[in-house]
Amino acid sequence: MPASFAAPRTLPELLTELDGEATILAGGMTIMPLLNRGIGRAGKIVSLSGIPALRGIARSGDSVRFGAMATHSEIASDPIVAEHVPILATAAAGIGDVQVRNRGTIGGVAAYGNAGADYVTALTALGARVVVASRRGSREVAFDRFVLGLRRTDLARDEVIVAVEVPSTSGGRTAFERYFRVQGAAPTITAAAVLMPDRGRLAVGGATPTPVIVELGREFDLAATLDAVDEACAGRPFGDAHNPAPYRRAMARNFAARVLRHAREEQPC
Amino acid sequence: MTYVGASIPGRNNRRSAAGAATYVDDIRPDGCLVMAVVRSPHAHARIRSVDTSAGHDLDGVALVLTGEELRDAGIAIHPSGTNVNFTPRTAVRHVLAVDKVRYVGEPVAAVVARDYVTARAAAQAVLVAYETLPALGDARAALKPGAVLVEESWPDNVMVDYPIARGDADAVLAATPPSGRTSGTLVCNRVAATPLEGRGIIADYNPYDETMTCWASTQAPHVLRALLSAALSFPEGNLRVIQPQVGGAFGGKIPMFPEDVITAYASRRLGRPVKWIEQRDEYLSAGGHSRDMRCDYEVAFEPDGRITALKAGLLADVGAQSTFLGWLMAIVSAACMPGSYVVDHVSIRLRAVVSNRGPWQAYRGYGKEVAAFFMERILDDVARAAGLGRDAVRTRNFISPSHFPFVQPSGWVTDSGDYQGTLEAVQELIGWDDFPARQAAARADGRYLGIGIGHELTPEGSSRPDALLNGTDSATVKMTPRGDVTVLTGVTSPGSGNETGIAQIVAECLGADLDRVRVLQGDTQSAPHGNGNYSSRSLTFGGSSARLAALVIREKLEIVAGRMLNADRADLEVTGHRIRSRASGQSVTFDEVAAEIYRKPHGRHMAGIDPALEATRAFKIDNVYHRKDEDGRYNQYPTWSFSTGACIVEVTPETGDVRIEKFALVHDCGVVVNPLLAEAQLHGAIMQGIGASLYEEIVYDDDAIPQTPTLREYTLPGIRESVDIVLGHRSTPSPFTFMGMKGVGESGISAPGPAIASAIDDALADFGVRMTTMPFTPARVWAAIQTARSAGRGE
Ligand SMILES: Cc1cc2nc3c(=O)[nH]c(=O)nc-3n(C[C@H](O)[C@H](O)[C@H](O)COP(=O)(O)OP(=O)(O)OC[C@H]3O[C@@H](n4cnc5c(N)ncnc54)[C@H](O)[C@@H]3O)c2cc1C
Repeated sequence: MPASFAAPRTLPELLTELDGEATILAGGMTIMPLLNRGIGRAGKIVSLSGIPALRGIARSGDSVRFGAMATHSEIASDPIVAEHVPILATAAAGIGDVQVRNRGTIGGVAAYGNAGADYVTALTALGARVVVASRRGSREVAFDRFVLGLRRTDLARDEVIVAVEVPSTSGGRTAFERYFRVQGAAPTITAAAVLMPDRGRLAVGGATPTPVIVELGREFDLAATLDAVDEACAGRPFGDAHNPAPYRRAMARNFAARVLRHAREEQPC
Repeated sequence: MTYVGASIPGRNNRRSAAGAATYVDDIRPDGCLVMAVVRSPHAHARIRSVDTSAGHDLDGVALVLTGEELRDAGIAIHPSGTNVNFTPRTAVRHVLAVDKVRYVGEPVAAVVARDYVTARAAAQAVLVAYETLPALGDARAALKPGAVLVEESWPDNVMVDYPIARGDADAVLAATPPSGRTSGTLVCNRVAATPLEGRGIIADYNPYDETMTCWASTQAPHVLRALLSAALSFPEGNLRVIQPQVGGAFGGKIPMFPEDVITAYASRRLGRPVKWIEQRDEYLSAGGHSRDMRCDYEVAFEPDGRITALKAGLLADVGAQSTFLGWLMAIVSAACMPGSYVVDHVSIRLRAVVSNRGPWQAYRGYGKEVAAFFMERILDDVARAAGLGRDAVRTRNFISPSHFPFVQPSGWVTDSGDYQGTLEAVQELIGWDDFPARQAAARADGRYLGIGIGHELTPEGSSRPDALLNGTDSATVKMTPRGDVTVLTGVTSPGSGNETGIAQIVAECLGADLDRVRVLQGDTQSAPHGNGNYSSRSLTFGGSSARLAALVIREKLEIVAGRMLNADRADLEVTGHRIRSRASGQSVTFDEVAAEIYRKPHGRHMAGIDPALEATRAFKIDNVYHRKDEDGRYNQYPTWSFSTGACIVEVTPETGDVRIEKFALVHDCGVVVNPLLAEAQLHGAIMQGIGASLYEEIVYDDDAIPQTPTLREYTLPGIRESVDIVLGHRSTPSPFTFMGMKGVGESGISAPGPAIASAIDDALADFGVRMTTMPFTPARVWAAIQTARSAGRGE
């Protein structure tokens, strides 16, 4: 069936298009292959490409605000990101290949909520917030409460992610690790550590439907932290043909150890 | 001018690199309709009903086809061909499922519409009511007593039971003490060739002159024509098959596919051109897979490493059967054991079993890679058990160069070889002797490096009895009135560049200028009959046929030129498009001789000469035995190329990740016509071999549901995974072919698997790890380390 296609220019126009039936098209790197295979609703497509308000990366108080349509390439090379949330630049640079990075967006990754996706893990560790809008109004949700399950998020069918706000990690130590098999395949494990003077958080993605989170104090015991990761993975196993759950669980522990080691070795930035 | 042996760039390079080649999907006949196929979502189910009405009703839909319609139209593929040494169970194949579906992706109905989007929407609107049946997830499930039957007319799910025996392996094993025996299980998992360009065909029936033209991404236009003609009861002479540029095939486009028949049928019914272009997810489920074999072995050996007995049970999961014949690869795996090694007592039993996985289709290696993986892993096991070097055990057991032609226990005849030669050369290339010191130094740094070798045997020129894929091919060579040379061959090129090699052979044999020799392939209307491209036969068969035809032309040119120059033929020297009398120093060009023949057929130099400057010849290869002779010889592989691969890997034990630092391969395909093109083939083959060793695997769950439906899950290596490849050449000419050519193309795909396994074992020797299941994914390597640890082996 030929789909109806809309490419609104402004946020209000967009919100009127989002009637609960529409499928949002951002970079298309995830949704287009699915639609091509006949998966998902193709009846009404609403593209976000024409809305300048969804673009851009800017400081906003102690945070960095990413327009939902900020691409992986932009995030990987943006000086503000490099200064204030360098691990997000690292995460962005490792995604897929250059074609995917040029089109794929932070909003698309957040909305899809895939297990182990680079940003999903990084944004969880960073304590990011998602700004969501609809005809009914707008709201802000903590990212770790936004991703509810495997590719399941707290996003109603008439809602759109407008921006992602990420607290600056300036003055802290951070690290990001990804482990993957071949270029173009989803990463097996991603791990992010954020060690701030007053708080710390470890997130590990890929071994469970949503990232494992371990809150870290000023000082923390490495062995106990890794045991906590391991226990969390055991309770919510996730795996596939090439990377079965027990393997992912073991890798979660490995990469948690690596990312914490690297974060500790970092100079505070 | 010597062309044979020269590294001349492929003639298709510029066109391909410029993106200027015409592939089947680039061909757009006026009024062309597009076909989409409705495929089974179930692994095994009865079809209760197919309701096509909603599909029909959509605007733009021209035709909806079901299995019943095609069956009622008398379209069915009947078993054909002769098999020696074993009898496969067979059944009539339907191109659209009738009564039941047997694998996910099996074609059930087809929709023809004005464009793909409409066809796809209509395909989704076709309602098929299924009643699911228990599904067989693999061969072992299919062998269980009481297992559901995939083919209901068979007593069980065994398609082929093929025993091979020489001597008395059981008796030797029983008489050997435990210290002289070892045993194990090896598994080579499913892969798919995955060419860049998928399958595709356009059929264009012309109702006025009752002809049909097909453009197909195929390896064998003449074979496809014959098979389509039989399937559709359509006169072969009215059917023309054209092969446009093909974007890779690797065996995967040897005809015939169900979609070929459905597309041609639809065009004939509609009287309009119909196009079918495969989507990648269709390919991965229904385009055909290969490998998927298991080997339970027992060997007996002497303290010096000589293997005295080999007993192996091979179990092949050939999946549900379709119209294509990939299952024959299982036969090749069995018949190529023990392959490069002399073992006096051999007992092999192959069982090829149908299940609810997808069918097999030919893929580079064609079963030889599985045999190489099994044999090389067995040799490594013997080396370990005997406490000997891996190279020493191979040296001890290789067939020695003086023992050729060598009759394998299967009856197949290995023509020639010098296996020690490639082994030693590759050890030199990889730095075998210096490696232990490097390894120890790296180990002291906490790094795990390993070195491995793998030997492969690549019998080529497959010549099956009573089949169109047999031991001959033909070529036409002709000269125009102005002296240009055209070569038409029955062999085709899947993008490999064999037209360049054939041009080199013709130019050389004819004494022509290479730039004036053009090779045309892939059109049944112009090319003489041929079997197409498979089994690395394009030069051994196509080149040899073209040579024979060229010699006919050359003889005629020499006779006429001799008269023109008033010289004896023996006095003539032919080179560079010119014929010269050595005695007088006078010469004439080919252009002048051609003009003489064409323009003055009644002239004084043409008395008694048939003026045709065109000849067709068919080369029929030697060393093929289609009936078992008194010595047990039955042979379908006339020439046997071989190579030895070696690699250095680094393994990260915490993740199981394997990185190849260097891969070396020394190959021997007899005389090399074009080293540049041969190396290009080897590079590709080695990368595909590495892909199947580390990255690629078609996975099914216990209910035979595919777990790797797209390239996101079927992880092909990309440029990041490409490795440093070093090649070496040796030449042991075949006694049975022109100049001793053996064929290159498949070579190089088999050695990586066992070489990498061997290197991983070596890297992880501290843990006592042995890699037995291919591919060696990080998860498998990691699991092998955990198993070895908990078994208390090693660290
Ligand atoms: C070859 C390849 C390799 C890849 N490798 C990686 C990798 O290594 N790591 C990784 O993390 N990802 C990887 N990806 C995924 C990639 O990051 C995608 O870009 C991302 O998942 C989706 O972003 P998109 O902008 O393309 O979203 P789209 O595909 O356009 O949309 C994805 C989903 O989100 C919805 N959506 C999009 N934007 C919004 C919004 N603003 N508000 C509400 N809903 C929205 C869409 O409706 C759709 O359901 C890869 C993808 C490909 C094709």
